[in-house]
Amino acid sequence: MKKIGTILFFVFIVVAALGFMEQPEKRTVPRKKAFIVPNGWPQPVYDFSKNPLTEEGIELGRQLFYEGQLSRDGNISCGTCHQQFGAFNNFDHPLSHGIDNSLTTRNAPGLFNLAWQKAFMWDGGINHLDLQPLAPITAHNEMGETIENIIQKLRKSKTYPRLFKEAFGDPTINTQRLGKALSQFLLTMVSSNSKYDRVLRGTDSFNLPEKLGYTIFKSKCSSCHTEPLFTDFSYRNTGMPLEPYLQDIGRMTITQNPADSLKFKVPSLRNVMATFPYGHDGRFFSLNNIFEHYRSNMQVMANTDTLLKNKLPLSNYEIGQLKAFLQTLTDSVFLRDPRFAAPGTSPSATRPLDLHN
Amino acid sequence: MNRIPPYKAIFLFGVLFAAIASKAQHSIAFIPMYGAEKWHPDSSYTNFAGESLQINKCLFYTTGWKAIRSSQNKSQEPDTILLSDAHYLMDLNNPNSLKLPFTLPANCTQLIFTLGVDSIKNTTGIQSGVLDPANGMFWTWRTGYIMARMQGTSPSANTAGKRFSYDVGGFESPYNAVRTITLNLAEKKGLNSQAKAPHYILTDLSFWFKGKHTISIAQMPNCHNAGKLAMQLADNYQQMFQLSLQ
Repeated sequence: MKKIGTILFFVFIVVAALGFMEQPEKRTVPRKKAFIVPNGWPQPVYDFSKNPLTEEGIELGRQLFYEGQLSRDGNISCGTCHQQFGAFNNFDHPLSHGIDNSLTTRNAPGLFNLAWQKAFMWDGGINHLDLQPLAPITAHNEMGETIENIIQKLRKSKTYPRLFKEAFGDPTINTQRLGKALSQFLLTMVSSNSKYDRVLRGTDSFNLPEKLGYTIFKSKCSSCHTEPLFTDFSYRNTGMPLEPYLQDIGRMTITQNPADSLKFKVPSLRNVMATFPYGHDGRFFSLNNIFEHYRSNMQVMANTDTLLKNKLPLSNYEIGQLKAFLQTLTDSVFLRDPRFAAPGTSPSATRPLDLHN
Repeated sequence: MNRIPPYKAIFLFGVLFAAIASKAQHSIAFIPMYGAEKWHPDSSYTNFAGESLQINKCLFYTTGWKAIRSSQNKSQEPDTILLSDAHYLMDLNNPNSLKLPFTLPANCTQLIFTLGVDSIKNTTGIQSGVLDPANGMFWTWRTGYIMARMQGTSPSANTAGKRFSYDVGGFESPYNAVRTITLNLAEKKGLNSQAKAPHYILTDLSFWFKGKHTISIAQMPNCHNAGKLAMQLADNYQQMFQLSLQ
């Protein structure tokens, strides 16, 4: 009898121990998502092999993009200053509002076709898309947080450990995964469905002013605003005098090279009608301001771009045709794509009217 | 359940045995100094420019740890032994971080390491572990690791709170702040026979302000970007290491 008791005791111990054994993890594999390069476009520079797109990763990135908790007071998300109806620029804001009523020092650019961009910021100071969000998150006049603190907040949240697990296979939350998830969402933001694109694909045609504007564009603008991305991603001095309050010397801040003084990244002109105001500090209110700058207001300096040494002569007629062509770069599919809207909302059907152009 | 397969177990025992059987293995640790004294965050010091200062923080990354061992066969080239190519963040306020997790084999003539972060780690997105930007040794507004940091106060600093702050970084020419340090072990030869005698690397913080360039806190209280000042500080602190002869 005693023996049976002992045996039962051991059986009990073994069964109990089995209960503590690690269960084989029920792994739901994230669903792979292909990145489609539009016809005729160059290969992207982003290394997808290090961060393959998945449905779950993209969705996590979208949640994070619209997550106020990435800022110190919980109010400011990436989406606060990157609004879909402005092609993810800050609509109608020369500079943006940061935490504690602060003001940024540069114009929030539109966000699209980031997979082709090799450096970020107006001065190109950030060399990888994954790293880019850390700048606004930690800037004292933007989201004002620390990386350490947002990682803690995400770890303590009810939803994020699950979302990270779905996206990456386990619930680990760290800076690297935060950057990768945000990149996955940002990489999907491809804008390639404007009228210009349709014309090139042969499914639409330019009207006469657009067609004339396109010809002028190719002779006067496209050496810097190169198709199909409408930027060559170079840094150029376009004769914009130093802003006395902001004292922003642009690319020279990064390289410390005086030859780079007041050089800024050539912005893409895709969706240009939606991304006003223009220029690295938002100093240009309208396209007319820009044309006036190029044809008369420019201050030609020692390192002003060689293509602009004699400014950029433009007649009123040419400006008219160019504006007609630039309208065709608006990608209304992109501006209303529900995949890019904040979770649980749909894109604004009533896009604010652009009264400035 | 994780079970170690027998071949792995045998391999591990083999490694263990080899480790025990090998002769001397020296541990390596940094000792923060200021001049001839051991550094303390509450002590006041004087720099080469004659300015009084206190240093409350100093951190730096090291990587690329190598040793040169003279070959047994004298006609042959000396062997280079890779000790570790991981990155280590040395925090002078945290003694645990100052002891390296690997050892130096016996009969080496030189110890070589890199002060800074590999350029590949500066150009491939977000890293993890000791290189996680959350550790604060990273510029988020312009990509790049802060290779070395010194923060303190000085009556000579014309700044809020009399603070001076040097964040040295930059991985691209002409402002690449990565430095290689070579320490000769020859003078320690007599000790090499003593198994497990630790090697101490004296780290004299006064060199931040002297050496190749004299740095004055009054003139340069801050360094927060790659560039000329960062290069000068890096040239200076490259010389701050010395093997203890104790």
